[in-house]
Amino acid sequence: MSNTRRTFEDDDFALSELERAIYAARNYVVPSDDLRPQTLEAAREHGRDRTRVRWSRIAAVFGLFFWCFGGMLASSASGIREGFVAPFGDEVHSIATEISLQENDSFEWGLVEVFSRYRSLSGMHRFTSPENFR
Amino acid sequence: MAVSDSLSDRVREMTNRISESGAPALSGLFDLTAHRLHRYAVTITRNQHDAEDVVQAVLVQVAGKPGLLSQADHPWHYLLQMVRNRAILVTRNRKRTFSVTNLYDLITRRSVDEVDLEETHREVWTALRKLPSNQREVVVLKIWEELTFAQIASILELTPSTVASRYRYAMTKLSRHLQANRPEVPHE
Repeated sequence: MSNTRRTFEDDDFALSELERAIYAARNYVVPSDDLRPQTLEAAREHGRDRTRVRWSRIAAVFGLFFWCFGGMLASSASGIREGFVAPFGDEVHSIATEISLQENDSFEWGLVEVFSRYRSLSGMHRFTSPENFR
Repeated sequence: MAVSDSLSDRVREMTNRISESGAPALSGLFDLTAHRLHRYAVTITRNQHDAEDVVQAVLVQVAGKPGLLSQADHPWHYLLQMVRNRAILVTRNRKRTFSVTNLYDLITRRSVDEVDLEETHREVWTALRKLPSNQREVVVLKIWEELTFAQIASILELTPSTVASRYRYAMTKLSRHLQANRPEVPHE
């Protein structure tokens, strides 16, 4: 009597038997029940993060655009505004004084005369320089 | 049609659904692949939790960029490759090393119909854990995923002959491990 072990090196049948045993054990180890909900929730959260990042990028691009565009607009607006010179208080005061001396009248009437001339000027001339209504 | 080709088609279909409907459609792909991906990840990481982390990370990545998978020639093979790469990364970054060969850290399924087979399954898994990682994954891909040596070679980036040789070595070792745990049968 002898003790023998049939290994797969001995014959093909042992190999296929071994392969069958391994194949049958394929579902023995399983993932935990928590894996499914955790994965789906993680994917949703990841999707939300990506949406948030995408909107932040869009907002940043628009912000940059408006900052550049607004800066250009502001600088060109200040260029236009330089052309519109409103009568400064000091200049109005000195012109009113001049007029009141010339007309031999009170300062208040000089001031009234200055603003009357100012109103009589049309359009753009109003804003060019106080010298126009001297 | 081979199992892996059919699986590739279904993976592509599920991935297209994700492209159309977004992350909520991931459940279909999860149900189709998670168990298979998990058991493959376990063979590399040798740890339940790391394997689950790997599967979760890969599927979340797919949900974010479904085009990665739907445009691949073989989506199922590509998914296995993604799991493999991630599992190797996790294993490298892990500070602890798992030299355990028992199955206490794994969640096992106990089916009433297979009570008598449970011991055999346990022995197979224990024997698999004793194999070197590179031989273990070849066995898993060959027998559980029913891939050809050429397909395994493309996933592992090896030559088919190397894969075949690793399979042969692995089967010899497995045979010895399993025989060693079984009672000897007396013959005249």
